[in-house]
Amino acid sequence: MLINKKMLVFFLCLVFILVGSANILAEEPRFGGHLRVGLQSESVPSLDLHQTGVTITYHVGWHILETLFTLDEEYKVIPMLAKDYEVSDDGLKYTIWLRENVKFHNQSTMDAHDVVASLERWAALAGVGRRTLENVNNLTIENDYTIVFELKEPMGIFLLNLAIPNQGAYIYPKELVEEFGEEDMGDTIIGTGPFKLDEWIRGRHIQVSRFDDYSPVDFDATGYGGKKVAYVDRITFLPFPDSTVRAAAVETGSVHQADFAPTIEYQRLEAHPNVNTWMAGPRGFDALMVNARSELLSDPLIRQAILAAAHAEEVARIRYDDEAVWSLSPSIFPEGSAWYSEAGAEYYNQANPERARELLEEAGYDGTPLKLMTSTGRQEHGITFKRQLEAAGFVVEDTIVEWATLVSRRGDPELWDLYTTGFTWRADPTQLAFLDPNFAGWWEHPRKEELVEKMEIEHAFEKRFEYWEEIQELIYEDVPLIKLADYKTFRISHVDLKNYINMIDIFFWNTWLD
Amino acid sequence: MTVYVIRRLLYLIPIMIFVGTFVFLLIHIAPGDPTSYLLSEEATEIQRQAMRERLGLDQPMYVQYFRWFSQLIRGDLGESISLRQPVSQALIQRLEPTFIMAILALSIACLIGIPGGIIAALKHDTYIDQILMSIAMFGLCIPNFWLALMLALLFGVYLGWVPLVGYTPFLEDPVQCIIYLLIPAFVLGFSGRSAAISRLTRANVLETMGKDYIRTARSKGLSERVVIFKHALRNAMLPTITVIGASLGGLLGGAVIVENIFSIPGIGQLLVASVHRRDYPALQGAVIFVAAIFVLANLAVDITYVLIDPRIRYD
Repeated sequence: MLINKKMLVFFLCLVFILVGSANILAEEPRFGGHLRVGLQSESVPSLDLHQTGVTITYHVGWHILETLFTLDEEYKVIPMLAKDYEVSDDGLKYTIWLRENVKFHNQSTMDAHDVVASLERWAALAGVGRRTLENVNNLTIENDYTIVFELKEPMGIFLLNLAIPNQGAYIYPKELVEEFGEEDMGDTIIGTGPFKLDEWIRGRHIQVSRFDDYSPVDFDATGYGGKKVAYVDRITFLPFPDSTVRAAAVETGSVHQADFAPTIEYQRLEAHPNVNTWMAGPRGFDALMVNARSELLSDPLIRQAILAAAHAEEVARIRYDDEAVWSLSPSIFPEGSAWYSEAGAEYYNQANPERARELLEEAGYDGTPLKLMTSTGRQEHGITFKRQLEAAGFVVEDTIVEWATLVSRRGDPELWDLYTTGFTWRADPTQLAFLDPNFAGWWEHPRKEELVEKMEIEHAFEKRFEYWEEIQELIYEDVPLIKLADYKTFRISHVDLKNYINMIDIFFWNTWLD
Repeated sequence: MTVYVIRRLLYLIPIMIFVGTFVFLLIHIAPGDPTSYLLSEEATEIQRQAMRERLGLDQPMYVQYFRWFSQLIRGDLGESISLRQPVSQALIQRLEPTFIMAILALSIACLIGIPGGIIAALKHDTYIDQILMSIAMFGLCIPNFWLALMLALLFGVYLGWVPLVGYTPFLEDPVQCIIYLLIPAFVLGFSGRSAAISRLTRANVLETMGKDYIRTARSKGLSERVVIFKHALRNAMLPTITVIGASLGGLLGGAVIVENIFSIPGIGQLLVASVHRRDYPALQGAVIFVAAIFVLANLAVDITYVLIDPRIRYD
């Protein structure tokens, strides 16, 4: 009997050791396999990443294309195709040294000529590219692997602009740039990335495979950069427009990863043995854009009344199915970000209809209807917010239209006073769309303009943060928009997908399949 | 007959021009344009305007119409804005799954509907009739998107018998292709189609069975099998064939929903996506294409009449 017990203990130990070592083995990187990713849209508008900043385009495209710089795990700028850089003391001269022997997928070697041709195309096609190169007096090729930018004015966000992924400064071979000019490159996409494009059948799939001659950087992987390894042989991006089906596809292992899983199923998926759940972000925040050109809203008291009436928490509870998906914060940038600030916090999520009434009375509000425009995707926002405004004494005229219609209507200041939208989190405050006076909402404020300009020039973070805090304060005082809750992206992956790095944007280099 | 067919085919031209023009006007009147899809949510109006100019959408509507129309009469459906490929090529690529699914769905609808209807008629007013007609009623009432999701959950997730969504081209792997399309086709065929076919078949068989010539046939001493299959069914099937032909249109409508749920890259998915993205050329092309299929399906039904009922002539 005793022997049996001893044997049992021995046997159990053996089992534990074996299971343990199997687990350790499973964590070892493994080459090979075919990774399948479920996309939330049935088609990708373009893989030519100079053309559009739509998220899904670079979530696929940046496996193929690379930029000179990218962002690390703290969203700070690090070199990628660039080896190193130097900024002159006056901040007007940037020297960038390129990595040598970096091969494009067509086997040509990347050099300064490719980089300059690509940057010029980027400036012609992308807004951020235009703004960046407009400030460049001279762009010279010093030798095959050195380029020099001479700026008109110092630009604190110069390198960041070269690093951002959405409609970023991706580098193509010069011949390709010359062949296509400003035209879309279709499926002739050639880059330096760890994967090359194999096949793109519109509406069916996009397939990329490992680029054997990829030359990674020589420092450890961090964020979107560092050493990239293509462990899987192939990645196929498949369209799954329905979120329930997308989630079921991960459960059954038909695909290994899917973004924007249905939040209503959060609890169930979290408990599922085949599924790993991830919350990415906050990815951005929900907001109501205020029309600065509206006659009714030209009175700051009325704008303040809207802000006082806003109950962000109620809107979020009604819009989102699970609390894991949203959070409340007065800061435009999420907690954990270097730009987090509580400036103006007292104005956030006031839920104070009495105060709103007082402000309206003070303003002498005459019952002119407030035109609230909502897209079908954010109906809950519109309906809840309408009720909150009515409780404060506003007369509200609401229209619900689908997204394409909203985008076209918001261009006409006569058609709306408020519209529901969302903003994605950006690496730098100067990239926030609503700070641009051309963005529908047309917020113009001399002090804001001055602060944004200062931020663009300044290099030192402390100074820049000071400017940003003042801008955020202004956002709450002048009310160009009403910030609601921060939202996260609920994404899921199959347990077979290993070493998945959960950043704001998805990527599949350095991940492997069990 | 040949003259009749040629005349019917010639009708296609004005129909397609009318349909194309109608869709052109409808989608251009709808607010919004393709820039809402091509550019990010946060693009400014200036960026949108630049994109419109590049796509030629800043031109007056009549200029855009005549440009599109002159292409159309040369047989060119234009280039899709969102897919960046010729519309005709996009349609051909997407025809295969929709076509195979429609054929499968029609076959399933007939295989369930016709025998169901005949049995219900022959056993009318018995519990078999009641059960069969209840199933038909269930199929008629059930929304196809709901049935699609339920079957996907049952066979795709819980039982794991079939792949959940996606598509393999027929030439690559015919068996896999059919497996992918089986549940979507069942949804399309069962909900609505098979029910309509079985109810109609039942009614017509019942009516025909009461006719004098059936009594005559029986009194001649023919076996019940010959009476039913040779005399009753052939006469009772004419309205059913009309319904089957007309079903093709309904199937394409259902394909819009089912293809989106099962992520099948067919014509239905292209239609929905093109509306959302305001991809004018793709939408116009797809609707013209569907209209042509409609007309051709009706023509096929008319020709089938002649084969089934020799009394009908088109001379």
